[in-house]
Amino acid sequence: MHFFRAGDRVRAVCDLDGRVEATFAYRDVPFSDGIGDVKGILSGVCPVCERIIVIPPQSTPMIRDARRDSLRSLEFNVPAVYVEMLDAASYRIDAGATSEFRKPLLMYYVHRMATGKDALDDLGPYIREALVPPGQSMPKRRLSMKVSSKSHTELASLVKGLSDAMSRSFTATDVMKGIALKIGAEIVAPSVPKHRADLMAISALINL
Amino acid sequence: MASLGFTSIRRRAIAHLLSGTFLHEARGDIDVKNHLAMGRVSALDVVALLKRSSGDQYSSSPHHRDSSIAMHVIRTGGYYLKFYFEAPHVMFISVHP
Repeated sequence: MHFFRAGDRVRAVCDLDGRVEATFAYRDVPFSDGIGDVKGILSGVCPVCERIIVIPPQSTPMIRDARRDSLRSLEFNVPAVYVEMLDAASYRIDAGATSEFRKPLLMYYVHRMATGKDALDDLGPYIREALVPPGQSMPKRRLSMKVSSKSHTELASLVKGLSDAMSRSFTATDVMKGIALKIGAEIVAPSVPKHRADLMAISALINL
Repeated sequence: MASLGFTSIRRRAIAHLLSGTFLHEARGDIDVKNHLAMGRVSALDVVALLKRSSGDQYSSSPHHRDSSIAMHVIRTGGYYLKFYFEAPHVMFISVHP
């Protein structure tokens, strides 16, 4: 493998300036889809326009890591009962679970439905229930989490799938509330929680 | 530039991938569709794709920025591979599904 160092030169073709000799230098390089960038990787710079025109394979591990790190934020501001439902389920799975388990629990359900392991239709009744405002005044809780772009895309596909199936426009918060109620019915209420083995294994991993 | 046959193009590309003498052409950013640059496939995965490719999956055209450079395109195994040779490297423009 040809290993480059800053200052090395290589023959390349710049889309703007044609054939040039690019010089390797450390640069922050954005991803073409606009989501995030990679800080300080060795890349070949055009001597004329100074744009990045060459990426060497030795930068690929850092590119891959940066992509993995490009987490997306999710924010939910919901009546307290929904967060309590997630916490009650976490407690049933693992008495030592902390609030850190809310995210994997929620995203576990998102993943099952996004990949067809659980039918999307099952969520319908819970979402309808979630649309009814709570009877008495209830404090609100903010739930914020960072998820991978893959999980973010899966949640977006659920929101779209449910909106299409039920012919109304749902938000990610509506779907999150529906999932919390489904978790209540499947994990908090029954004598033996559903998906117990899977969720215990996940809980053990995040408590390392 | 004298035109080379498909077999020779493929053999050279494989040799560059195996020896790690390849680069990715960029246009100011990292092309997320380039699975080799992104680390979603390895150089050996691309070698495997090339080994299974055949002449009818190959085409060639001049580089739009410099017509003295021959661009090679191989559509194989669900992937679109586009590259040119710029000694001592092979420069990949596309490695995408």
